[in-house]
Amino acid sequence: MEGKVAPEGRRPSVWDHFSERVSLGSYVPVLRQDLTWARMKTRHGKPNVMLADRPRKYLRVGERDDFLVQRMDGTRRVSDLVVDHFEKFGTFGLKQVSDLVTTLRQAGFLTDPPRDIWGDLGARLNPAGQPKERRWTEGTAMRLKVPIRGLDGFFTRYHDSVGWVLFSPPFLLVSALVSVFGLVAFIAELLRGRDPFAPIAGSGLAGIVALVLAYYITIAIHESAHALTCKHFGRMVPKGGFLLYYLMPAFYVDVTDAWLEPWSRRIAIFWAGPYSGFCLAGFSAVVVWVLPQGLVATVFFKLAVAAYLTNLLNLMPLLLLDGYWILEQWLEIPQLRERALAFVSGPFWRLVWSRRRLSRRELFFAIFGILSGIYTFLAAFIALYFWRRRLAPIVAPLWLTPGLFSKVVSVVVVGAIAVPLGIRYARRLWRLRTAVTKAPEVARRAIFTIRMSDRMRLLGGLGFLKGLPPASFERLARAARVRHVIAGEVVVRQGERGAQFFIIAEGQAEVSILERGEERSIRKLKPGDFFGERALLEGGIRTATVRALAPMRLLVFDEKAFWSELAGPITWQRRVRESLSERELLKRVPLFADISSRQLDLLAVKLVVVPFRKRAVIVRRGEPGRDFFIVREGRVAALGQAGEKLREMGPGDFFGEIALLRDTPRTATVVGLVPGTLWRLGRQDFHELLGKYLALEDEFEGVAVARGHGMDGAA
Amino acid sequence: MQCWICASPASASCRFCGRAVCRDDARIHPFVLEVYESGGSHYGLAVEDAIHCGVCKPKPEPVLMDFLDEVGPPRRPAGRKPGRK
Repeated sequence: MEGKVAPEGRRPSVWDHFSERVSLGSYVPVLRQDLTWARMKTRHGKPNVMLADRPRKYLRVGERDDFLVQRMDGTRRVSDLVVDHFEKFGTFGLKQVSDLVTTLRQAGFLTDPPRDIWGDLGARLNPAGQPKERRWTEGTAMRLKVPIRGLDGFFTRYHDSVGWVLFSPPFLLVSALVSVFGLVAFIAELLRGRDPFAPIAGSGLAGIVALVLAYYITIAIHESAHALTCKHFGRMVPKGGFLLYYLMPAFYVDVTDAWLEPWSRRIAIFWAGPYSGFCLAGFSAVVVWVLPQGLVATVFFKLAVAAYLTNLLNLMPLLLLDGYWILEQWLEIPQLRERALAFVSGPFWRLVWSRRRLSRRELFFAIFGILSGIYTFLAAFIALYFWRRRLAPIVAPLWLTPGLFSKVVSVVVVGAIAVPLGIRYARRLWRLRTAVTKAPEVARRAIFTIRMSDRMRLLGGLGFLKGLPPASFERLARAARVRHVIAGEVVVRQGERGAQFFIIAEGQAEVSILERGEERSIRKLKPGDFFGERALLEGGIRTATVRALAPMRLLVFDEKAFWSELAGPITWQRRVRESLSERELLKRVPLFADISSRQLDLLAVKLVVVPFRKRAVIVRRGEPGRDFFIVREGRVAALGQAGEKLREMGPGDFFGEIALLRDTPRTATVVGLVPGTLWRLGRQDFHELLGKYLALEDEFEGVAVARGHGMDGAA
Repeated sequence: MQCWICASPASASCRFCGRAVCRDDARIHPFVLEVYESGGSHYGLAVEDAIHCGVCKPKPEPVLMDFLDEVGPPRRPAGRKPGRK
């Protein structure tokens, strides 16, 4: 077996085998053969790779992930993939590989799905505690779907028998003409004074019922258009059905399979819904224009009004509807709305305050975010004004009409608007009430301090304090303060000067950096992780922003208090300073760009600093190698067989990386040019790092699965 | 013995790793006492609330131990045959 971990010269024992087998490093990920790949280009020519377990799960795979996934053929372990990543991209990709393997396994993309025998056992022992499976509904209470599955066959037959005609050039030409002429005819009718909300045959109730019916016909055709276009491109429409969006009934179809199509076809699928609306409204308007005034003309006019209103709403790019999705696909900025709103709510004001000129992208985010925010509020007020203005004259006489039926209809009409709004504000009030009732508990927790044993345990996890005498540990533990942070609060902000160092005792946080005006999340922190250690050295400038994802309890160390507690053991103060400085040096090495703070901490402990002199031979060609070297300071040269200089290496450069995995002889001799030092990492230490700090179950707890977004062509 | 977590007097030991824990820090975890086969199916005698320290992590998946095949059965001491006194 390759890569068994055992000290030099000793045959691997059963326990060596066992410790290797339980570590992530020896796990062999095998990708399922029945998955669907889609290799496309973005509008700007960049690779866009999708991997799908149709029709359930869709993953967007990055360029580096694509490289790794290709290698998950059952011949490579995770440690091999780390080395492959290293050879290809020049960085240690520990997190990249472990996140990818975890994501793929949790999503069921690997041949062996994740299992939890203890969870299964618990479920078998206590079946009553298991939540009942809901079969008829999906989603949340405010976005409740009643799905109809197995629609793909229906839409396939629909497309193959009739629907294909809709995509023939003659039909497309005729429909475009009808859309244009119909719009002109509709405007002409409005200018002639036709009232879109006019009663039918003198009945206000009939007018409302006709408008509501027209609305649902429009939505049904709208959704069918999404589905048929999706089928036209050979993709699946596995389900659709009824949707209660804030208790407002509508329809939806699942067109998530569109992710496997190029950007232009995705836009076509989103455009199909509004386009069907233009065709329907245009046709209706032409009929109205041709027919004399009467009942039929009034009904068709209502249909045109409903279709245009639906389109107006759907094409507005400031809400999460068709217009927004089209814009997002066109601009190729995933999660445009979320990112724009996040920019406006945070970094934008800081940039304005610092009077820095905004880049084009920042300016776009600012405008889009502000408009989206305003429109969200405006839409609610417009809706209220519209319904009040239009419904009041109809509902009031209805309510006053004798008889139960008219009163029931009035209640239903008002309830359809009032109930969703009422629920929304009731939820807000409920949240407020919960916050008020929990306030004493939060205050009590704020007073409660972290126990000494927990403080000692947290401090014991810090690599740069390794070997510190217990008395010093205890003094440090006592010197720490406890800080409670609510979810969403920023603990440290990039660019600000800080004099505090933090260890997470409870909760989760997200580390993000500001790049081109946009906050990019780089990693998540969990209990035991720490941040802000630069502050211990020189009250350093924060290099990233840390925001609480969940309520957190933090151990806080002030710079002065930290060093004063270490003041007694002078040698220890020096050693800790050296360890911290060493971490700072390591952080600057591009090779470790992908490594998290705690992994870097542990790596710093494992790395041995080796001095070398001028002309000293560091490794010799042909000799077996088991160590990997990074130049810390000074310069070295790699020499070929005849002693010719192959290349020169300086700080941050490395050699001997293959020795971490394979027993290959050294391919070159490396000698010192300018005296300096090297960092040395042994093969066993590398495997320990893989095994101890990237255990699969830990990663399973912390890594989010969804990388692809589901798409519903919901109206 | 002291509790691994808070160093107060311990009152139990973890069923999985043997660490000592006090009442306050003890947690519970399902545990399989024994597995037997009957009629082609596996059955387990299980404890629903065995003591768990919360520090060790019982692996949620079985571990393949094919390397034990390479080791082979334990060898008998030389000069002794089974069944002879």
